[in-house]
Amino acid sequence: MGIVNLTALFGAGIGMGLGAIGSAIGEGYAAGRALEGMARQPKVRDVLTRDMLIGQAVSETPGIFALVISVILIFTVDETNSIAHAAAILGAGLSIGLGAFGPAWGSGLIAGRAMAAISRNPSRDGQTVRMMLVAQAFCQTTVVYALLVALLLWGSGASYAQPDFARELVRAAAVLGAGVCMGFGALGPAMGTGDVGAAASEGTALFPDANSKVFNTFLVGGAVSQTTSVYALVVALLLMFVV
Amino acid sequence: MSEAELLALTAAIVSAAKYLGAGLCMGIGAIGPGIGEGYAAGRACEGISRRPEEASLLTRTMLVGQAVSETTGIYSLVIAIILIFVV
Repeated sequence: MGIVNLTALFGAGIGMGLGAIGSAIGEGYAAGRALEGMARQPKVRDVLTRDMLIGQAVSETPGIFALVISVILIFTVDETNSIAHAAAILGAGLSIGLGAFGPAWGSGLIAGRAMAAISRNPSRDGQTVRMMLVAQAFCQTTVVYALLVALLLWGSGASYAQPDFARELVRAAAVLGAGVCMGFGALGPAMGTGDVGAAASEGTALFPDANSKVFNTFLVGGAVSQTTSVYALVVALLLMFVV
Repeated sequence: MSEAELLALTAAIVSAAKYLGAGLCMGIGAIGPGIGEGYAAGRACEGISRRPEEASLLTRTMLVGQAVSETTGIYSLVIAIILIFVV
């Protein structure tokens, strides 16, 4: 056992704890809107149940990533005594823990509003589910960045160790900052993309004539809202590899 | 401090971090399912109040939706138990 195990176990706990929130809220929201739709139109219950489960499955994936990183941190960490390594591992846990919330919540929001819209216009079921999946996929990109940063922080292992304490401290701050940077950076953009994806899915179901315009606006608007997560990724990589 | 004392201290600090991590894991992880399942149940109640004849369908679907929402809470529980007993 070394100092690294301290932050590995703690980071695993906090990573899974934070990472669980978004998926649960998003999936509950999707279920609620589906129930609302079913109450209004009992005929569409099978369609809505199926679509709800599809949407919820996408919302679940950030939670799965958090679980995987947690297990990796608990069981497969090089047991060094380097403070910088310990900080990197904590950063990994925080990166995926914070970063999982936005995409999961956003995907749940998209699924929920898609369910409500399908219940009002069941004939547009197929197109709306397709739009929902595209929007959810767009929303998930930031958790992929967060997962990437978490894996990079974990994978560099014992190479973080520095010859003296002062340099260890600097490196520790840099890598912890990288993890927190990507964690928060994955949060907001995904929530925004969730908002625009939800509106686009609603539009696909309720206003078929406006479909192509809505889709283009979704792409442009969604891409703009994602930009700061890319900045966060760049800064995180700089802190990890260039500083 | 002697070698043995240092080793004991390190082990103690790691244990401390482990338990704190387990606590935060389950504590924070419990937030989400609470909010999500509550929202689903709320919409189910509204639906049933509007159409009582659909009560069994709505309740069944509510439980399915809530079970899915519960899964990440279960993951947090599993990780917390692993941290407390296995590591």
